[in-house]
Amino acid sequence: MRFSLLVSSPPADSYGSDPALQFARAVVRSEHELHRVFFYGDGVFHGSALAVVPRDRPDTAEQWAALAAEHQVDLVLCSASATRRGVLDRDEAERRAHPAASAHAAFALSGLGQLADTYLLGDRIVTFGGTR
Amino acid sequence: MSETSVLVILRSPPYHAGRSKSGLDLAMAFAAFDIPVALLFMGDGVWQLSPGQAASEIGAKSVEKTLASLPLYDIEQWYVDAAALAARGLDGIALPEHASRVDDETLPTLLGRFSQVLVF
Repeated sequence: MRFSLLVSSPPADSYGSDPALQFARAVVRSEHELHRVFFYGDGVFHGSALAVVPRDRPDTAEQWAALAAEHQVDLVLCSASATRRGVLDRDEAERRAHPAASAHAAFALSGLGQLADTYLLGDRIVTFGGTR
Repeated sequence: MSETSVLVILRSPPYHAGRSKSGLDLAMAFAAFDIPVALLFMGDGVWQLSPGQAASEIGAKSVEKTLASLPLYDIEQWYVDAAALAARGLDGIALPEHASRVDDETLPTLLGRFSQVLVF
C-alpha cells in the first residue's frame, strides 16, 4: 500500500510530530511504501533549517531529511503556509526579495494542488496534528 | 472505494489560529482538482455557521462569507452535528439547504462513505 502523511502540528508538539516520524519509520520498515509527507499549517516549521534544537532533543528536520534520502520520500511544505511563516526556499526568497532563505534543502515548497495530487496517487493518507 | 472522495471535518471554532481556514482552503483545493469533497461541522466547528459574524471588528476575513462562497466551488455537501449545535444553543439557526443534520446514529455511515477523512 502507498502511504502519504499530512502533518499540521509544529515540531515541538509531541502529540503530532513525534508520532508522524515514528509512523513514517514504521511504514518504510514494512512492505508498504511511503510516497510523500505534506507539511501544512504550523507543520511547515519542520522544514526550517534555522531552528536551534536543544541538545537533548532530536533535530526533526535532519531526521526527516535522513529518512527521505534513504527511502526516496517527497518532503513537501505547503507554500502558502510556509511563506507566511517565514520558511522560504531560495527561489521564494529571491522572488520576494527577502534577505535569506530558511527552508531545509531536503524540503520542497509546493502548493495545495500537490496535496490533491497526493490524494489521487496514494492509497492512504494519514494525518497528524488534528484538533485536540 | 475506487473513487477518491474526501470528507473534511471542521472541529475548530472560526478565528482560532487559522485552523478552520486551513481546512476550508484545503477543501477548495480538492474541489479545484475535481475531487469530490464534503464538509462535516462538529464540536466548536459549528460556531462557523453562526450568523452575523462581525469578522472585520477583529481584523479577520469573514468565515461566514467564505462558507457562503463554497457552492461556487461545488462544495455543497455539508453535514452538521445536531448535538453540537444544541449544546451551544445554536439549534435554532438557519442552515443552508445543502446542509444536513447528522446524529450519533448516522455519523458512522457517513464517515464510511468517504475514502479519505481529514480533521481540522
